[in-house]
Amino acid sequence: MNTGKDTQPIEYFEIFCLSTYSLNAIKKTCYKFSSDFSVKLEKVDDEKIKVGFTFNPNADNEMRADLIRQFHNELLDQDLREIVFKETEGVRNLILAHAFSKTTLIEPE
Amino acid sequence: MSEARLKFQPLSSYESKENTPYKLLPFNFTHLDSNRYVLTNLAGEYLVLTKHELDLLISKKLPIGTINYNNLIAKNFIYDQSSDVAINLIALKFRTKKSFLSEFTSLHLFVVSLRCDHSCPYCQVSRQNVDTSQFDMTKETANKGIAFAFKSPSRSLKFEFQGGESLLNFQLIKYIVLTVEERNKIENRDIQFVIATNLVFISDEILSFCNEHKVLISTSLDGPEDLHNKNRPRPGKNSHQLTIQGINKVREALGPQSVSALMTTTKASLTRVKDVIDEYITQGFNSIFLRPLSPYGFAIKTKSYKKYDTQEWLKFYFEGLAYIIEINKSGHYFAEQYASIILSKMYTPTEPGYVDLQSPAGIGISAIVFNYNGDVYASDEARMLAEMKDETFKLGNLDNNSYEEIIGSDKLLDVLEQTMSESVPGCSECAFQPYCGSDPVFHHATQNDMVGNKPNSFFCHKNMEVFKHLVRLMEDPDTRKILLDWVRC
Repeated sequence: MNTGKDTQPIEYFEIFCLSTYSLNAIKKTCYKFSSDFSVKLEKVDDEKIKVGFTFNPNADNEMRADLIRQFHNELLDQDLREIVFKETEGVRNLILAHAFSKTTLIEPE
Repeated sequence: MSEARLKFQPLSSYESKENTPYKLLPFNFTHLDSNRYVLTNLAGEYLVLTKHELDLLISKKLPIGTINYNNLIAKNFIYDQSSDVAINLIALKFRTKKSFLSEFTSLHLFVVSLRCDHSCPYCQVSRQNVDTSQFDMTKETANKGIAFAFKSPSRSLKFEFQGGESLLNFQLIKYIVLTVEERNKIENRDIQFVIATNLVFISDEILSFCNEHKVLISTSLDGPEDLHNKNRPRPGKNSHQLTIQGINKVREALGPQSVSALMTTTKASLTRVKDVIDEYITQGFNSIFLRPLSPYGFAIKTKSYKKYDTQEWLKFYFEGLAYIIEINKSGHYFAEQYASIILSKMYTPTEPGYVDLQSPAGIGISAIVFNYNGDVYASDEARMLAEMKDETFKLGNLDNNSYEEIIGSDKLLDVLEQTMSESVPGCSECAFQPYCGSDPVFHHATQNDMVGNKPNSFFCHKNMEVFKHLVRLMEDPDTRKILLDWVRC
């Protein structure tokens, strides 16, 4: 992952490898912070994506650094959520199918 | 040696189970604080784990036999060879949670009049003067509303009479109650009647009727006299006095549990939460519903809604909750109803039926509103929005549209589809999704979008903080006992 600073003082960007985090995980993380800053996603190449952050003008250096730290942590959480979702997708569908089926859920003794 | 001649179980049967990886069941997780997460499963069961424990769980390195492992098994977050009933169990609990869907629309609200003697600045309805009877519902409209209600598949039907001030059109309430009772001789449903009133016009005749027909009363009590009268002005400046007199009369005539009260938090209430709670206790109530203002009707026109923000309301709510818990610790049972609803969702597989905390949204399918003129709205808030000339959630009119047209309308079904929090951005992966809902009318009113951007939503922020607060409160054994007493099945 590369980082860098843009010309505007309240703008900032990072480049993420799509082999590390999925595009979905990045997008979900961006959504979660949409009240703190706006985000522009740009494809660098097939392997990388550039995430451009535009902060609220009231956000000072410390606040911005804290938000970026939270962003990174949330990205890790989203990655974990994807692991759980992928592993449990089949059983989730099974549970929902059971739940909404008309068959009895408890086998008669 | 061929397999058929083996006398022993295969080698795998003798291997230590400690190395057998468990399997994950679906769950979501959300930060509780800097190092801990709340995990919930589809049925709303929850656990709190540290970041390290969560990593171990997901990477299948959680030690077997530990308290966390056993809790995760017991609450259906994981399953192993010893717990293969988990999938059926969780499906059963999830089905129970969603069983309200097949019994849709129990609550039918009849706005029998828009007339009102009060002029509350936060009122969500554009009330009319007491003598403007063109804003009263007619018998013809009421008949159509009754016929509509009996088309609901729900075995339980609740008829609630609202205003304005509903008792200004008591003759129509009487007519509806008698007509419903007559019709129910054939239908044989569970029927409940509630009159929402400020109690100014309560009389012996009305009480006698309510007693005979088991009609319950719901009223407004905003706190002690000075606060209540400030919030709820009327000619004579005696709203509090009349409300208290009314409450006492109702209890005397119908019994101590026949009247309930609701409060609304205004800017003036924010520093008075203990006074408000004390007033409810003084007046003999055993619970209170600490409610924020809603962004509709006069509350917008008089700018009451904008007078405090989420943080101010949360401070008010948490201070009130702490005070109520202390009251309980001193031996006096007293509950906070919003917490009670959420705790019931957290600790039972049932749905308390609170419209704002349902997925899909409760509009239309938990409650439906018949305005005085026959207009049908998906919720009371939808009617209030229409008073602001926004008819987004108007589903039709009793004169022009059939039950099938209204309930099967794209207007209603589209909203329901969009408000399934299981698939809404920001909600689908939130650990609090099983406890929450998606209030489309609120988000439409505040963000002009039914789904709403959750990071900017008062609804989301408020509920997330309340959920987290309750999870933390449950960690104290003494508080836990008190809060579990508030759980309703």
